[in-house]
Amino acid sequence: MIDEQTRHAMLPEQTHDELARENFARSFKKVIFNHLTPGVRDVWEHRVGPEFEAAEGRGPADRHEVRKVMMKDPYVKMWSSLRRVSQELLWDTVAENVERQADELAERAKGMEGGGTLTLDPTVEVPRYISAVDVHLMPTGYWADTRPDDVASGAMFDRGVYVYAQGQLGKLNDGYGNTIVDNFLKVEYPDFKPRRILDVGCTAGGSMLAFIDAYPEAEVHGIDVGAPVLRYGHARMKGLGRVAHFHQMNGEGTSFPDGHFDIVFSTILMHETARTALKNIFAESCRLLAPGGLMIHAEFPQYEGLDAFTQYMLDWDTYNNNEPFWGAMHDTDLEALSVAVGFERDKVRTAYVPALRQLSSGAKNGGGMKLALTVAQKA
Amino acid sequence: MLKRARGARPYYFDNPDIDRLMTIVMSVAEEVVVTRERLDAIERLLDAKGTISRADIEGYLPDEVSDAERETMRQKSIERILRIMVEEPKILVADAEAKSAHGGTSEYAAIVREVS
Repeated sequence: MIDEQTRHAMLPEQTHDELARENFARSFKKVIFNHLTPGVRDVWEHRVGPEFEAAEGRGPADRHEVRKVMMKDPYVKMWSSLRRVSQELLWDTVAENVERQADELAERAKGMEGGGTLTLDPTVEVPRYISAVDVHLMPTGYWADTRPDDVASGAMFDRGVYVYAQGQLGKLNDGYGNTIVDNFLKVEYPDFKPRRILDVGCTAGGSMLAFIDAYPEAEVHGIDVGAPVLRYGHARMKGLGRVAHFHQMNGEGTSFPDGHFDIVFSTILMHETARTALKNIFAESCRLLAPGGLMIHAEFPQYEGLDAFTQYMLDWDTYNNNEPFWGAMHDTDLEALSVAVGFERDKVRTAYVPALRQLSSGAKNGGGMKLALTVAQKA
Repeated sequence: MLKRARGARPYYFDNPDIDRLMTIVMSVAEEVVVTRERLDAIERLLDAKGTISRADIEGYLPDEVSDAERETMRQKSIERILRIMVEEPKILVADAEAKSAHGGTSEYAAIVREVS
């Protein structure tokens, strides 16, 4: 594919063949999605489903019943295996690409000129839900330092996510930030003038860009527990000529004072965190908001209302893609959680907004996908 | 640097050797497709220049038209490699539809009965 990702100063470079390997990973995923995944639905409707019904005298009660019988079907086993392999090949390629230039990238990050701040804190403990497995199979996770001043994890994330999402997150991986700003905040709160904004679990800072550009008067902060992604994010932001503040903190409990922010947001953070942590993050979001401030946690929509087979398909990542919290999070009542941590019921809602997708022409198109925003306003 | 993700890897087949084989097979597929792509660059450069250097190949970047053609080539290659997986569900659906059309028997058996 034409390499469309914006070549900012920190982005790792690819040789001809490295690019070809990334292209293979993308094409492989496309073939699976377009030709094999629909076959899984056929297998359910014409083989496994009817067998289940004949044996049990009823349809499946939930996605777990679907999964248990589907796992035994030979087509499903092969499809799962291929899907898993496609994921592994993608990260193999990106990891190899980043590793050969990791020292050079670390040096470049250290020497990058620009504004904004980076505050690391080695006393911040990486929680077990982050360190136990490398989510979506990205080697090193978001936190492991492989050398002094390491940025490898951030570089892998920045390039890998772009390839993984097939460019749908935008040339700067800023698609979800743009979604919140353009499709929600500017629509529903056009006169809102936030003074300070916080991205919880900011990783390499992709989602922060939209806020920096939309609210030039505001201070934009990002927090994460992983040092390498923060170092990379800070350098990347400088390379893009923007000003932002990165801090090594855990969103469950930060050192900012009460009411310090007017917006506290996150983008697809919630399915990477344990349920207990989720409650703490919501509670901390509440504490950090000034009166009238907004909490906005953006995620893929919940499973409620979808049939058992569709839920099973959406839940594949929980069991096969190192996303242990995915399923449980999708069953969680996030509005109830918001109320439980102190937001007033009538100030809590879920907004479904079209996810901005960047076409290769640069035009923006809502496409079919929606993000679910759990929104709460501090009284 | 560890280049594999930590976290127990699922094994799908009753025989885990098959899972390993799948990984190896698709890696071989990747090698072939990548070689194809590099060859494609050489062919296009030869068309354009008559003679080329290794540096030409390293630096090759497709334009929009070539890019689309190469993507089609990649996907077609992968579809051929995975043909059994693409076709199997279609056969399943066709059989199921034929079964209901022929009152419960497979299309093949129905035809055999018809011509016997």
